[in-house]
Amino acid sequence: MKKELTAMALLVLLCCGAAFNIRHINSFTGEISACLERSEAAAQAGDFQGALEALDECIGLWDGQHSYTNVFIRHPELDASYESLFEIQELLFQEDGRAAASAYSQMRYRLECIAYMEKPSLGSIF
Amino acid sequence: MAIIIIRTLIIYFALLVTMRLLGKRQLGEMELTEFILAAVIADLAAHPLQDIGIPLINGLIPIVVLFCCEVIISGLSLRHIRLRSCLYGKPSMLIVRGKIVQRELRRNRFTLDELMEELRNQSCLDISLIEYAILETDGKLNVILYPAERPVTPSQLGIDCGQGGYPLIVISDGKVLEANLKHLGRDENWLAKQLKSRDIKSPRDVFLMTVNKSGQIYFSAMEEQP
Repeated sequence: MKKELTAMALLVLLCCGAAFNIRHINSFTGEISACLERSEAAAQAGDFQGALEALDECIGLWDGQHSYTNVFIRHPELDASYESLFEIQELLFQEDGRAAASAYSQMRYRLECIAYMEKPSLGSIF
Repeated sequence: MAIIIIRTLIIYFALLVTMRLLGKRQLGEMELTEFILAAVIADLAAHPLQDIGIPLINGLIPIVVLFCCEVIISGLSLRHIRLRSCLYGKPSMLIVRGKIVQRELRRNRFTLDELMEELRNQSCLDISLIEYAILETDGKLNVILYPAERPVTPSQLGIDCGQGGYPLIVISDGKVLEANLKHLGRDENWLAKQLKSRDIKSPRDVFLMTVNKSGQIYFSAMEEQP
C-alpha cells in the first residue's frame, strides 16, 4: 500500500506543480503584455524613445524568466518570442510606427499562445 | 506541464482499452500494463534526446506519470479480483481433454496454425495426449498433458534423490562471498580445505564455486589469461 500511496502522492505533486506552472506563466506573460501595451501606446503617440524604454523593460522581464522558460517551454517558441521582441526594437529605432503596430500584435499573440498552451482545454489537449 | 500530464493519462488509458480489446495474443508474455509501459516509455524518453529544442522535462514528466499509473493500477488489481479480471482478462482453455475448443479459438483470434505452432514449440505433436491447453492472460500458451503422458518423476519410481538444496555462490570471479559461506554454516577454514583438495592456492584462482546444503560442490577454476 505504501508504494501506491507514494505514487498517488507523486501524481498529486505533479498536478500541483502543473497548477503553479499555469499560474506563473499566466502571471509573467500578463506582465510582459501590459508592458508591451505601454510601449505600443508610446509608439503610437510618436514617443519612440519612451516606447524603446518600455520595450527594454519587456525584454528585461522576458530575460528574467529565462531559466524557468527554458525548462518548461519549447525552445522554438522562446526563440520566436525573442525574434519578435528584437523586430519591434528594430522598427522603433527606424521610427516606423505602422510596421511596429503589426509586430506588437504578433508578440502579444505569441504570449497568449504560450499561456494558452499550458492551460488545460480541449484545444490544447487535443 | 499540465497538458503533458493530461495527454499522458489519456494515451495510457486509450492504449489500455485498445490492447485489452485486441486480446491476449498481442501481449507476448507480458501483462497488459507492462506491455503498454514498455511500448510507450522508450519512445517518450527518446524525444528530448533527439531534439534539444524539447525541454527535458517533457520527456521526464510522462515517464513519472506512467510509472505512477502502473504502480497504482497494479496495486489496485492486486487487491481487487474484479478489477484484475477486467484489466487482464481470464485464461482461456483452448484444448480440453484432447478436444480443441473452437469457440475459444475464435474468441481469442487464435488460428489453428498458431495453435499447432505453439504446441510444436512445447514438443507436443499429439493433441489427444493433451489434457488442457490454456492461453494465459500474458499471451503464453501452457500445455498440461494427461497424467499418464507426463514425464516420470524419481518419486514415482521410488528413487531417493536426497535433499538437493539451493546452491549458493561462495566464490564469484575470485571473490569470496562471506555472507553466503556463513549462511551455509561454513567458514574460511573449510573453504581453504576444499581449495587445497583441488590444488588451488587461493580463492582468486577460482572463477565460480557453489555449495548447497547437502554439501554438493560445483567448482570452476579461473582460466589462464592470454
